[in-house]
Amino acid sequence: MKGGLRKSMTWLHTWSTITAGWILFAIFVTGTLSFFRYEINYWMQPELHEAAPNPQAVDVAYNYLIANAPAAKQWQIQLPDERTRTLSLYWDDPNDTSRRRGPRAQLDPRTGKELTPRDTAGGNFLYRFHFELYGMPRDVAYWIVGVVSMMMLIGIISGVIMHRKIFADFFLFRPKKKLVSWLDGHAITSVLALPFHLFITFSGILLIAGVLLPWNGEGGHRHRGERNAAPPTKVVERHYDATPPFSKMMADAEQAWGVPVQRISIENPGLDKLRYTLSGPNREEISAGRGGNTSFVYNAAGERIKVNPANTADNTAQAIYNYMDMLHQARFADTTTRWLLFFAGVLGSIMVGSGSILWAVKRSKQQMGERGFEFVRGLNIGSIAGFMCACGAYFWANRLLGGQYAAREGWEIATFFIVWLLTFIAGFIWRDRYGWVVQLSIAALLFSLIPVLDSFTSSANLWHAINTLDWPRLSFDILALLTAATLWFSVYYLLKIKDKKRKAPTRKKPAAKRVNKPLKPAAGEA
Amino acid sequence: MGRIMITTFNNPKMQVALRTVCAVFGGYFAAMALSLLIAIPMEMTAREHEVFIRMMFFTIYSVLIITAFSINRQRTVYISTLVLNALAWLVLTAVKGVTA
Repeated sequence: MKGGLRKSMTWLHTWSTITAGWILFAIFVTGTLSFFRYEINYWMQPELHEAAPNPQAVDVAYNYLIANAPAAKQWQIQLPDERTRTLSLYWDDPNDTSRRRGPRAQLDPRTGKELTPRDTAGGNFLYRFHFELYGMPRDVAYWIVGVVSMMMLIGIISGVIMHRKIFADFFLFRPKKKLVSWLDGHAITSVLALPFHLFITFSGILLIAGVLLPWNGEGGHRHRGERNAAPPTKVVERHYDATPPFSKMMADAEQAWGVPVQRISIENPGLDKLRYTLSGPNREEISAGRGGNTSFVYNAAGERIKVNPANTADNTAQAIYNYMDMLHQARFADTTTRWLLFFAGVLGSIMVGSGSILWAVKRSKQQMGERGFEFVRGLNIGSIAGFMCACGAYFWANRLLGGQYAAREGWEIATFFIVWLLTFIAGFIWRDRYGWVVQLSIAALLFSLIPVLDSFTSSANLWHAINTLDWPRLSFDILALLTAATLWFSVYYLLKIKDKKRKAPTRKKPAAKRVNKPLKPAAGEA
Repeated sequence: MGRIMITTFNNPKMQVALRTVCAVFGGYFAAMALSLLIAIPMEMTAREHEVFIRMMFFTIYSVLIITAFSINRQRTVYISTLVLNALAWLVLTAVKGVTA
């Protein structure tokens, strides 16, 4: 490009990101929310909120399985942890192949009561939208997300190259200066979490690279193989122990790993070949990938008879790829790390949004009224403020649509897209500051009232949540309030600027003062 | 006719469009050839090759796109894209032919 390297990179940074910025904002926000996918699932299934912790949860699970699946060849118990409050039970049933893992039940760990949560896509919709979008063939969605992610990667690299003083930007923010403030805000959010932005973008592209590189390997299409129906189980007499040695086994495993047991798999329950397999969040290496946990196998007496070692990567290339996979999806992360990644994701979302706004602010004086510029202004409102409205509406629809309503899952998602479409239309009609104020206010209102909505539409009110330290639910409500506060602050800022412009007096030059100056002597006079 | 074509190609918007095509498509095919070439001497299983090529491809592709937009002269972009692709694919074909 004409001009020096920085000038070329500035051009490339501007155009590679503005053309992808609108869909990128949605991808970044949904990706950030996906770090807490299970918590969002939980919040969106209020029937589960009455569950409370119980140290004897495993016994409750065992008794349920004896009563409801006595002939199953295998039982699986997922114990409550810091992210899930309920007991999840799975068992195999040759007559039921509707679910990959077989039939499932969710119990209150304290009472053993079976909970029937409402049908909802929950946080899984946001998670899937992040890389599959919605309503289109998966390969098409992967291509779109892949191209947009590649544009983001180019935007990040060119953004780094074009920066004159990248380290100084850590400490630079000039408020109340319109264009410069937007520039500083964009730079700070980009630079503060730059390593995160780089790896999350690169790793994201790698995860869907199979479709983008159809000439490489199987082109991203792996055939799982058909799940053959299990042969019918023979009727065999089973003897169930009144008190299996769970305490002994769990104490042994927890002492070895230093973390609580999370899953218990019971093979051949009630038979001589009974085996217990215990596993937990005891990941030893991120480079091992998804099978990076050790598990212990115990016999009926609770004695450890086998150790299933954690997987390891076969070579450096696989290890690096596994790092990318694990880091992108935060499968290894504890609560603190997850919150840090979430915060970095918020910075990334602000980076993308502020970049789109900065583009418009920079050109507003010269290009106001031009078709292309007005189009970008309209798109900015719908894709940023409108998207926040759509997310808020999605959560509200979850609670306002009846729990037993059959088509509720589809209508929750439809509400999301209908609201988003309406905000785009409104954004194109009201493209000025007024449009931003209205949409940001609506989003702020939706998020502000989420805790109230939660308390009145859940099976247990907020007081129960506070009493039982229901952190997954409480954090969702707290985060909704923080989001609302940020949105209200944006509204306040926009209104304050508008008022300042109105009240600023027009400055008139003061009238020239009459001064009695001596007359200049006429020519020839002394 | 010739003058019209020259005028069209000299149009700044057309030049940007052509440079973008070179970077995106020329870069894609060049990165494809280069990543396949780099993976040849690696002793890996098929799955490991696939993973390695993925990582190499996007690294090389990013560098090629950045380079295409860094070069000042338009003609240099066209020539270097063509030459790089020609060389990479020629060497790849030759090496694959030898190792087959």
